[in-house]
Amino acid sequence: MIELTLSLLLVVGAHGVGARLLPIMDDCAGDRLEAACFSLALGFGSLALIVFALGVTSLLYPPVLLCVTVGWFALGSAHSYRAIRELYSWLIGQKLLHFRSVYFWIVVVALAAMLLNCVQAMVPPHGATDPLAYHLALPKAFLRAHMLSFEPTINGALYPNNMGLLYVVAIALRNGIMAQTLHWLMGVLTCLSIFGFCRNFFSAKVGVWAAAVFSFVPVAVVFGRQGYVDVGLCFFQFCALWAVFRWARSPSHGALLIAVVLTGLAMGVKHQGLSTLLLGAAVVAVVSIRAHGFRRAAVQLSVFTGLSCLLLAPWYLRSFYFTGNPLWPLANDFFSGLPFGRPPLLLTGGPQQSQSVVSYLSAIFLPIEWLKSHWHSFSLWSWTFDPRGAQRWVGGYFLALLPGLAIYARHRRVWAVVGFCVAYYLILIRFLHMNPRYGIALLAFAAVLCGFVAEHLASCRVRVVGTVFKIAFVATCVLNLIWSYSQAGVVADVAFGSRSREDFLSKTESNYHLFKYINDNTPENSRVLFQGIVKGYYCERDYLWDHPFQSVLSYEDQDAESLMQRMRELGITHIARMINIPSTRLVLGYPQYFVDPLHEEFRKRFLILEYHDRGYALFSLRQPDEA
Amino acid sequence: LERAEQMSESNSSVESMPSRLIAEGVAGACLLLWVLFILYHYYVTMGFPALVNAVIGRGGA
Repeated sequence: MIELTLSLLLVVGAHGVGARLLPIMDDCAGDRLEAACFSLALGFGSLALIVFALGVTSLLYPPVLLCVTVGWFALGSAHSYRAIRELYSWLIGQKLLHFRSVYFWIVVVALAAMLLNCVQAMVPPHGATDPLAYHLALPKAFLRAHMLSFEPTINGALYPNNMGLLYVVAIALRNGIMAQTLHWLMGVLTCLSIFGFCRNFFSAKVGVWAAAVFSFVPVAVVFGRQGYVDVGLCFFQFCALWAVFRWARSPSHGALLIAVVLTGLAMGVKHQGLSTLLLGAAVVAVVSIRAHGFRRAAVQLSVFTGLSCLLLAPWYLRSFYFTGNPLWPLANDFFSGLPFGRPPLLLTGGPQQSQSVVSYLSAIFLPIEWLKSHWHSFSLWSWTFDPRGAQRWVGGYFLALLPGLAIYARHRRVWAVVGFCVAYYLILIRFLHMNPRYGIALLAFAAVLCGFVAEHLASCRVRVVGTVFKIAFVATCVLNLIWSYSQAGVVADVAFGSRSREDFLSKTESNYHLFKYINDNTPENSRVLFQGIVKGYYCERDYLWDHPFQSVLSYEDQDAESLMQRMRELGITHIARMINIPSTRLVLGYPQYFVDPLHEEFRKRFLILEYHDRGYALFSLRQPDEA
Repeated sequence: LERAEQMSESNSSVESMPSRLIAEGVAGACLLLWVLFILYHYYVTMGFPALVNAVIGRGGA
């Protein structure tokens, strides 16, 4: 509960600081909820930028972070106090929140499900690979190094990572659980933003349906309660695109400035946030050309693109400083940056190793054959009924409700959102690996459209239609609540303290015992090479991956002697090895170490066994005189 | 003349009301059937009946 309380305090602080920053850019006094959502995004963005500054000046020490965070919180405390009082009086005055109203029960069930999801966020990070391998592991590595260090073997080491900077604060103040609860709160704030957006552009009732639909989207629920960054990205993206829509409705310099800053912050969360720039620029271009012609549109587009990229620039400069490639390891052939084993693909279905800009551009177009062969990976039908993993599990509401737009979408405003969603969907399937997890903001805007259809259906003049729909929707909400309850029940004992976190981790994390041994028994300046392991969050020592995609340590063309020489150059003192590498990793290029001739010879000549359990072994390297 | 025109317009809109209501009702009913079908199919496919049974069973136990 301490972690949740601290995360809530960060939210309050973010609002307070953002509320001080917002009037500098534009006057949002007309709509307090809109101002609150923008303030929250700006406040979190300001904290991330402060941590970035501390990181590049090698000041990432927990006491420094504590002092800075307290100062940051104090800066906006007066605004926060006022906002909490206003929120309370606003809630009391809401007519929708009457217990006879269906909206009341939808809100109650959605909030209950969110709280159950929070229970799952209140257990130590476990299970999923990405948070333990990099989303939470990198912030921990930064804290160990007291700076934004370059970890060349870890995936995404130099990617934009604003959420990671917030996780640095969370881990420094408390632990990974606080990072998870912060991420969960980002999901709650996204629901609030969806409600606010709908209230501005449609109606509060549409907002209730839309926020409820989004709160039950499985991909957002499953990843929101873990230490990923995707729901955080969604929150920043949604606020940024909301600001762009706000500017499109009533253009002004202030409105454009807010859109610019929020877009820059969204792009700084993750590379996938670049879609915000593409979509925002498209909206700015269309609106400007229609209103002022090409010349003025070019100016506004340049301002929007250029200034928002300024907020992203520190991340790319950092990457360029370390590797000579601002996007490292993406497009590494193009920038001739520090070699990387196997650079990730920029385009889905594009060239494996593109050598030129032309090959990238030619891959943007969608060939019919490609669409046919990949249909199963990006169709809404597949995402609904056969999602193949939580990443593509979007739930049933989108397929059920979106066709209703054909009946109810008559207003230009609705068609504008529809067109926007179609553009985002095309970006998702071509640039974002057809993976809904990388475009949860698309699902948030699609939820707005679902809310629009749901409200029309619920208020159908043939009353039986509306009544049956309301009953069916509430029933599905209850089913979703039961799902959250069943999942929370598994970990409730840990979340509420009746079972120790230590016991939980030792049962759920197979490498926890190994890392506990390393943390308790190896010198503080040890450097561990992970063989077959990537989830290093619980290792308190400096470490490297021997992931086949990196090029720091290669086993090609090596003998035992030269391998030992290379390991000494890298300062490696210990090797933590997975005993039996699963076939899924062998396919990626990992060796099966204990049957590989090179590694067996190396082990016999240079390694001393220090620890082993059923899954892992720890070796220390012989000193030169011992060898 | 103006009054007569107004009455005529009002009569025609009253006459079109039932047909609009019917059209809206039919469209709404068709959409409702689609929504019910998809949601039912979705929750069954995702194994919710077994989940509900398990939760109720656990509560009863």
